[in-house]
Amino acid sequence: MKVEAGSAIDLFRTWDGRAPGTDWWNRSRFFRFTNRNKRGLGIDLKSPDGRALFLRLVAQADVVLENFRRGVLERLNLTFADLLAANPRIILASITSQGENGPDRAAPSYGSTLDATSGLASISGAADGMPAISGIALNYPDQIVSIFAAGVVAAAVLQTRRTGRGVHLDIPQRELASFLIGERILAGDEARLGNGDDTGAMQDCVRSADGIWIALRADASTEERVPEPLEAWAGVRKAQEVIARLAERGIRATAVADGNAMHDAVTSTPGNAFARDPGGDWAKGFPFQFRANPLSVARPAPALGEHTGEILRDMLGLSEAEIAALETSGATAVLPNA
Amino acid sequence: MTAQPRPLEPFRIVEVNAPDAPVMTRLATAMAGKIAADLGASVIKIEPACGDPLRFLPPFLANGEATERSALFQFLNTSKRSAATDRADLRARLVAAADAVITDDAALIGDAPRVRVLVSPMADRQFPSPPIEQIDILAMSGLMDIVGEPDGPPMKLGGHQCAYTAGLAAFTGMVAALANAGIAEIVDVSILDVALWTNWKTFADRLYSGRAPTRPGTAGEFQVLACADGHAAFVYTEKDWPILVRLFADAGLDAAEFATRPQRQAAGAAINARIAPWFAARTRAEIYAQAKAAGVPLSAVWRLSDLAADPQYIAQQFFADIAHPMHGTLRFPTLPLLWNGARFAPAPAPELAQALAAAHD
Repeated sequence: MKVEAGSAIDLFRTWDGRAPGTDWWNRSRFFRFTNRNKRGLGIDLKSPDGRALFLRLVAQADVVLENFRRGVLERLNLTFADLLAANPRIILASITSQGENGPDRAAPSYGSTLDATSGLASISGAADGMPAISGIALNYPDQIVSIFAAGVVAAAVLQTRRTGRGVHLDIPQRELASFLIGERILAGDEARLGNGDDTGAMQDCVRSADGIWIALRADASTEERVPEPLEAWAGVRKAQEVIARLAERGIRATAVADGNAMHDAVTSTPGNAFARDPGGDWAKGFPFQFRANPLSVARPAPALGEHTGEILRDMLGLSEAEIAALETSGATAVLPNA
Repeated sequence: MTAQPRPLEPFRIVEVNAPDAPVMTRLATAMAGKIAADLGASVIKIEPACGDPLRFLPPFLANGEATERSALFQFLNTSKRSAATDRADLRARLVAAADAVITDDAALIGDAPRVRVLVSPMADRQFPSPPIEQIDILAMSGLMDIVGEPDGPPMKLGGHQCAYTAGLAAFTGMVAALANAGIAEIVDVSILDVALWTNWKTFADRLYSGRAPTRPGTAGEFQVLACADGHAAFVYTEKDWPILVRLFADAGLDAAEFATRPQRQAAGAAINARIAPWFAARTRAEIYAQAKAAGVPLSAVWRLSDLAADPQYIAQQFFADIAHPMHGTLRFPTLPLLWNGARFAPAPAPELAQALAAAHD
């Protein structure tokens, strides 16, 4: 159940513009891409009735997942202690930017802010150039934390089943980005290797005569077979020929796909990363797959507050009149605030 | 600090690689096993009698025996035990006795244990020769195309990002399957699929706009700029712009030509030129402090050697000093996780000599 308020809709709902006279907030394709398999619950947590309603749902929930800026849950009187009072078995998973503690706990960030502060940017980029961040198209720390946090939540569920006691998880994105360069930090190895290989193999990217970048890698046994000078050799040959000629020498080379090539490859041979929702639209798939119980996109992303009535009726047993009264009072919402 | 019981304590997990596995899948399985081990699972790494190939890969610690010098191995194998053996019967017994196995060896995916995690380069689960390694996955997934300068080559991020991300997926898939009690499950992790999954915005953007994002250079809102003692990240969204105009104290940025997001994207080079002196006159710490005070997401590009003394990391107790039998004290980045406020500090990785002895017990 994705909880949003009319005053605090998901940022992705605004990514496709705000076409006047439409329910633009329900049409954003980026929102729809990444929020499949959820139901939509419109609750204003700032309203006393909305907060009370939320806590009644928490009483029946296993996990509350949040990524507010630090301090917001305190202002809403929805701290871990408040949630525990409603449900002693609750797991509160806080996907934080930099963690619950410390001088930077409330510092604003996007993914690439954390590329920089984690140290990842300092070891990314050309050896003789600038540090590289993952940028707005990727915002890498945002993506990795979603995979990691799901596993940590599952571990907490296992523990709570045994102990009957709730858990507060603080999962800082910045720390995860540092963790994923842990061996470099441990060794104190600050080298910026460009496209070089961390394990010492010869690795590079060169451009072919037809303007395609090609990544190649040679190990100790094949390195001497790399043509020299490589850039000039590749620069007068088409990509297909570069790849084939290197393959003859036992060297793997791969054309660097841009978004067009990646899109074409995925749509012609779909794997698990992307899937079609029941309406046939592409949506986010899965970073792993189960053979016995395959994961699938069974439900399209919800409209704002789409399932509020259904959830309040089924989980809390509210009557239609009570549900209507909550909407009238502003405790629940199906429209963004003007 | 670590009195907190660890959540995966009841589980026995075996981690083992195929003899012909590429480096990439070895890194991924080791990362998945490490997270489980640091979370308290009893993780046994089965390695060949001559030692896991990762024991001999860089980066290296300053000294120590040849089998124990790799910081890569030390980092990825904390809190595990190891059995170093070439005997298939021993390996099969250890796998069968576990609750879960993490492997890249499709031949080991039989009927036991209940949860079997198979990490493969791609969906076909093959190990072609020459091997598919991370650079190939980064190229195929489009991840390389969006990092770097537009007039320069596509650029990988530092370290072993696509192997480790697959390790996160293997860990998560495994714990989810363990939590689904009573169901025998095989969890497939394709490293290419994980890379594509992390690059979902590129796919969606191409799908919806018909245009593929690529390395944006100065047209990107996010930039790295030189400052007095290194570099800083210039990261912002639309709502931050008016604050930035005040922060940079440059009324010229308030001009009509920079008023909208498309205008700013088109004028990226001009904006960078205007703000470069502001960055050049300040240290990373000064830039970060002023940005925080103003409430905008600019930040310092910290070097790895800056991290241990970082006040935020100290407050979060992100690093743990661990006594190592051979290396003295090693300072580890810990699991990026506070569990009811507590850190799970790692234990040192297993020594090969002990792993050989253990296998013959």
